[in-house]
Amino acid sequence: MTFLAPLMLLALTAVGLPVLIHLFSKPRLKRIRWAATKFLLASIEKNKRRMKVEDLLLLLARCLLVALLVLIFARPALLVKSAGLLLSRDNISAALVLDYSMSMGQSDGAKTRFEQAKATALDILGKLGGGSSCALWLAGDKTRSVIAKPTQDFALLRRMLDHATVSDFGSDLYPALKGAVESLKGTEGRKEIFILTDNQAAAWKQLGNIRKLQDEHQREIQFRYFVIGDRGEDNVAVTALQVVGTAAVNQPVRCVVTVSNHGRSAVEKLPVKISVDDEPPQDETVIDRLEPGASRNVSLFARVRHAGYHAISASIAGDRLPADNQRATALLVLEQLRALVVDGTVSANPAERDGFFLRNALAPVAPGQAGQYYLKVAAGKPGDLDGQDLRQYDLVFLANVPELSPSAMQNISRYVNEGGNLVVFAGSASKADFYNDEENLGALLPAKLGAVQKPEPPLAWQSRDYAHPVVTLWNDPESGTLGSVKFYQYYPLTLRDGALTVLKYSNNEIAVAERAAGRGKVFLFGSPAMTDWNNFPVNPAFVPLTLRIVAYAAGRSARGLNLSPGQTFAFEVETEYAGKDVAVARGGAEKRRIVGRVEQGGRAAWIRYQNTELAGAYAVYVGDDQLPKVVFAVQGDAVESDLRQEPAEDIAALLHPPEPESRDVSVSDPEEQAPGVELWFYVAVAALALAVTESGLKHYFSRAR
Amino acid sequence: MPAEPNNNLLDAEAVSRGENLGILARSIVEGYRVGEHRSPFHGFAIEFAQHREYTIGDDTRHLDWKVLGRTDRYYIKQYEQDTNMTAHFLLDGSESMNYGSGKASKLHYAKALSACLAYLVLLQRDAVAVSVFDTETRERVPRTDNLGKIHHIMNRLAAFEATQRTSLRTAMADLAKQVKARGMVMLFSDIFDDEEGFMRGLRQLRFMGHEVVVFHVLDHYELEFPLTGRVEFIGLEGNPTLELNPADIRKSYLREMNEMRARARRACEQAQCHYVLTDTAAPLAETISGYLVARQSNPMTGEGQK
Repeated sequence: MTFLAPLMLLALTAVGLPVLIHLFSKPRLKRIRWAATKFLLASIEKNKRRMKVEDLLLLLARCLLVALLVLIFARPALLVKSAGLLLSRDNISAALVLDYSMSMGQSDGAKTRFEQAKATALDILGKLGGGSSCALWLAGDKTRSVIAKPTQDFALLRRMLDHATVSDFGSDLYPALKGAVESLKGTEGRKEIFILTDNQAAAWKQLGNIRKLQDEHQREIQFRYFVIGDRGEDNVAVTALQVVGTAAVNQPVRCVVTVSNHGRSAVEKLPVKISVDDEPPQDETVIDRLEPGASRNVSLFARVRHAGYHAISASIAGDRLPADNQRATALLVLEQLRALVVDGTVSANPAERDGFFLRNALAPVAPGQAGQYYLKVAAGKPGDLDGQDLRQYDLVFLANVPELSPSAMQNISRYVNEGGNLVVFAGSASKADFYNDEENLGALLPAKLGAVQKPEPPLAWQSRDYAHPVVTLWNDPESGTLGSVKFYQYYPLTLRDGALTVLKYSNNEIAVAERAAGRGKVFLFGSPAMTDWNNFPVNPAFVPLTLRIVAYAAGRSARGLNLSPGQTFAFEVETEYAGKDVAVARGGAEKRRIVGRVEQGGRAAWIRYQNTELAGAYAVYVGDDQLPKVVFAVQGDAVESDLRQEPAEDIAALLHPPEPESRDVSVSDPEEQAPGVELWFYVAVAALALAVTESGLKHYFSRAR
Repeated sequence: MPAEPNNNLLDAEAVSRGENLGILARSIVEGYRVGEHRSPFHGFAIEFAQHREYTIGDDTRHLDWKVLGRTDRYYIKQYEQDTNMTAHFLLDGSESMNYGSGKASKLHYAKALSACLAYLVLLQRDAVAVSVFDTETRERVPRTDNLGKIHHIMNRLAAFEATQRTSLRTAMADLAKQVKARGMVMLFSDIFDDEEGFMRGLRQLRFMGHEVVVFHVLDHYELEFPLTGRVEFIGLEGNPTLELNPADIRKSYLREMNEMRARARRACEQAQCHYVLTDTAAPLAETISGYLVARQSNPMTGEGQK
């Protein structure tokens, strides 16, 4: 047996109160001058022993009554195994909060953590009193209220628990706790929230809010934590999958796969595979050794045979958490891309033309193979921009162009606003005033050009901490560095509203900027793609950076294909599809099933799909089409793969650092003994019976004898 | 017609003033005498001595009618003693008599009762003598048959205050020694003293030829013990102070009290004395009339009294 409010036991000292009262109290006496004292003395002598026994019995009863009252407030409870629950047979308004984040899918070889949590939850339900009610919440960074308000229908609760499945959401206890607290508002009786979690560090990402929530409701609600699963189990995961460059038909697509070892021991000979659309793996590599806590990027290549939307999946060998052993990404594979490179200055020698290096970088293949290459590059002069329909090009490059005619500017503006992409390299011929003027290209460009700088010694680009998607590749030292690109002259850039920094110089001035204009994108380099001001065109980073800009700009239509769990997928289709059935199939294992219809929304039609709890590739079909209209992928939070748990015994300290003995936070281990049935009711009944007995005895003893 | 039961006059203040005590006695006794023609005490303790010839002015009540019938001559009976009988009032003035649950204590009640009876006796042209005692005789009013002395008696009674312990044995022995002529002795006491001494005193008085009437004066609370709650009993006459719950011992107490009463009654019966249990809660007139009625029905035992 144990006591849930043991401090109240200090009040047991009050057991001495009846004795003290007996000793020191001065009852209101009637004083009588009495003549017949000798008869009193004789009667007392005859009844002395009996009176002493009666007094002692009454005193004992009163002391025991005080002790029982103290026990009631100390809340005695029986210890029971495997319950770990603070329950009693009286009515409780409860809420079960089950962590259903991806990490709860970790298995101990027989049961996953989520299955263990469900078993504990059923145990809790079994111990709730007959008049109790309970709500059911699933906790993750996307919360689900399975039964939002406490119900007494325990059959329904058990059924819903049985049907509950683990998701690929990230961990976050706060939203569900908040919901559970709200659900208990207005309910009667004692209120308790049972939180069953694997206690990942990520679960406490909103620790401040959780503390505040518990502090605000500590008087009326008891929060009880149950830590499920062992601490720090081994896990190796695919934590990232990135497609580098533009995906085009029959062109090798470079995929960078990040594999992380969150276990306590090194992993050796770990195979990593890449596949397209659930086909057999196209490429494979083996990581010889991956140390504990280390991550490794490996590059694998995939080739897609048909244009359209596809999913690329990377996978590793299985372990006890299957959800993160593979990772999918969706991409749009293009048939071909067209780019126009406009030279600012004309030279007889092609190599001296401003767009020479750009044209070679955009089609980095032998001249004989350029026809088969997906990127078709055309050369042009500023005058060509006057009346040419630019919509045939996916990108237009302006290389050291001095200025443009008004009609050319109008043509360019319309092109960008309708979705075209413009890349401007400012050089020695470029007139800064023209580019900075809002009436000219200034309205489109992401930055203003400053005065030409000639640094001594030459400046380099930043060598690390790349944030823009175009350059994040170089955060990995194995991809080389952009810090080796030197500049002898340059225009420092000043960002306009809504623009982003792509690259900076080592002196922190902005070197490259990007901005969305209309439906298109505009890049501005503060230095030309020629070797007169820098060594960029001859640097190894020139070709990949140029192609990444192309991929970034052209991949706009592939945005929204990669989601986090729970995020709603929305995809615009032609209006002719409106009203047709939408069917979805996840991965290769599931059959397609109809999930809704194409929605008509204004001048467009939309496919929307919300049930994206699980990670993987989803193929979306419209009508009776045999091929998917679009493919999207859901990627879980990589943090979930780190299965290390916060120490269970630290939860109370975590929630209330200054009050280690906080009474409203308890952490229970289901395997340990813990308070089970509360006994205060029985003690209260005993106290009542004793009070009645004491009263009866007093009455019986005080009758005339 | 008997007087209405009325104890209004019987309060501590009234009894403490002799004048009031006299008024009390007169009102009660006169009320009792209305319609009465014979004194309950008449002719008692008078012994026949000889005859003498009747002369005008003699009381015809003393004519010897038997002699007149036989000889047709008028003779008057002559007695050995000319005076009427003497009633000795022996009043317990010990501290224990000071207890009273109501307005009047046992002593007040006894004073009033004795005053009434003394007045009644004097009205009958008999004589009274009054003694108040505790460990010894403290107050003594000599024998008198003068009704005019009643106020003196009343004042002496009223002025007495009880402070000492009791010795019934001594008081009764003293009386037996001092009074040679046979008479009537009325004892007013709670008899909380030595019972053996009380019985011995009774026997002694009876041996001297006295008719003895014992008024056992007890308070209603002493008889019924109806007290509740926590009570501190302050002992009188040297008894200790006790703090207790009366209910705890009520039955036992009543048993002791009743046994004492039974012993006192038995002692009186054995000595052929009158035993009159006197509850101070009863109206004084009721107590007197009750006793006198019982006495008329059975002059020796007073049967009919409690």
